[in-house]
Amino acid sequence: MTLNTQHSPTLDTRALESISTDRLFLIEVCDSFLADAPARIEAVDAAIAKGDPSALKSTAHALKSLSGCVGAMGLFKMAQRMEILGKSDQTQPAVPLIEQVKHEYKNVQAAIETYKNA
Amino acid sequence: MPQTTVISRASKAIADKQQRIITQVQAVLEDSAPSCLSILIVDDEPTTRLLLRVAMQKEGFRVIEASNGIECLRLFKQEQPDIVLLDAVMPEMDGFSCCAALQDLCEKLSTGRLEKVSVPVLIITSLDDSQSVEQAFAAGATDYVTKPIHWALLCHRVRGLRDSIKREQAEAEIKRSLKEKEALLKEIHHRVKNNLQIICSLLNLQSNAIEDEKVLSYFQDSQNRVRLMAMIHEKLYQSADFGKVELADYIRDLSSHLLRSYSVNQSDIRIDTRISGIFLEIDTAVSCGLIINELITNSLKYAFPDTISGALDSSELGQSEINQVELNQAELNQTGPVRREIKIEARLTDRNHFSITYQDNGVGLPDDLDIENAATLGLQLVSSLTEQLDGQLAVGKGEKGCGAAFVFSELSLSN
Repeated sequence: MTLNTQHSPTLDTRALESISTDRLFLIEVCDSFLADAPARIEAVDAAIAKGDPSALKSTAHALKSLSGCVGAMGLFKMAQRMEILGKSDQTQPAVPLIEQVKHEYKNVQAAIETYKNA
Repeated sequence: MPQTTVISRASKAIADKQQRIITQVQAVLEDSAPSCLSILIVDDEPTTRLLLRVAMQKEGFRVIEASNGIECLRLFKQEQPDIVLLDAVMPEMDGFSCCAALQDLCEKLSTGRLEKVSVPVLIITSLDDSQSVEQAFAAGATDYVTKPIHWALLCHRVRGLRDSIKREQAEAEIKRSLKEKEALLKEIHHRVKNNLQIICSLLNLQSNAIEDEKVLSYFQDSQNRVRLMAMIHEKLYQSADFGKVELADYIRDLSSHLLRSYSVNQSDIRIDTRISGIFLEIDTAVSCGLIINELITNSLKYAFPDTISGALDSSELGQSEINQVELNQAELNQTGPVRREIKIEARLTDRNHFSITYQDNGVGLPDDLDIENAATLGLQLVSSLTEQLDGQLAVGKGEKGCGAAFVFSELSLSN
């Protein structure tokens, strides 16, 4: 089962901009996100493949934190759901979610590129 | 009096200094310019650290970063930051155990120090996890914020912590300055006492060369007056707040000193003091002490003529011989000899006033004594010091119609 993220924006940079509106800073944060996210997603994927709920919990938490940084709220929600699954000792229900994450990440990537060039 | 002038000048200088410190502290507290406090950010996520760093730098902190709990403890020891911002969920050592370890570390660093080392810890935890909030406080966290971080809220919390740190620093500074003031006052009272004692000794040395009994007694009186002032300064530097003298304690010391000074055996004349809970400022204490000093001296010299060795000229004050006869009659009326006694009672009458009743059961005062226009320095002092304390003086016979009584009422506690 996938997650309905209709009400969670792909990229909401308002929180980020409340820290600073300095363009260099905003770009640095975006780049930092793009640099770390693929590895984070891969780690979650590996935890699910291994069927390791404890690993799922911690890797999903890490992805959640990272997504929260840039305001990728859809990604945040999915990671949050997977973290809860890991906590309740499950990995199987996360299989469709990780696919959704990979798809959503592409959206975030595109949104970030647009944001950076705006 | 010069020594009180010295002290009031010193007190003023200290008060000025304190005011300056308070003004400085207020200026720092109100200043929105970057402060020099440091904050240690602990988060395993580089992107989060970047956000936290920029946010905290904007708040004016010097930022130190750690990517895990072990590094946090190492940097804490090394840098002693003012605030720690700690992520709850980290691999290996999580935020809660790290927070507890920080508290232990503070405890260790505090041993052997006068001021305890402590650091406010702000834990960043997930919104969906109410348990971790309790866990954070159990680990000794000061406060928490939730993820995703509400930046305005985080900044508000951190500002609160910063202000309380500044306030603590200001308090410590004021306490230190107060200690300095106390030490200084103590030193001043000590020196004034020493100088007054030197004057006493000089008078004493000078008396050795005096053969005239009357002149000698003037020197002795003067010595006693200077001595009682020295005693006040001694009491002041021994007292807890350096500002007030406890009257009961002071009068007891004063009276036993006078008995010694006039070589009166304590068993010959009993001085009974009933005073409680009266604390006097230095000026009032000096005036009050001089009054009691003169009255006791007067009683010792004239009320009990056979007590003091070396006959004093009783015509000086003029306790009459008729009264002596009355006393003898009073003695006859009782079984056994009358105990020679001086009673000093003092009590607070209201918040700002006190009264003193002084009595002896000696030969009594001459009937024609006019206290307002007394001929002797002693009684002139008593009268004018009473005026100085805004009080009233009534003079008469003591209990059972014998002896002398001086009743002072409406004396002001402070000028």
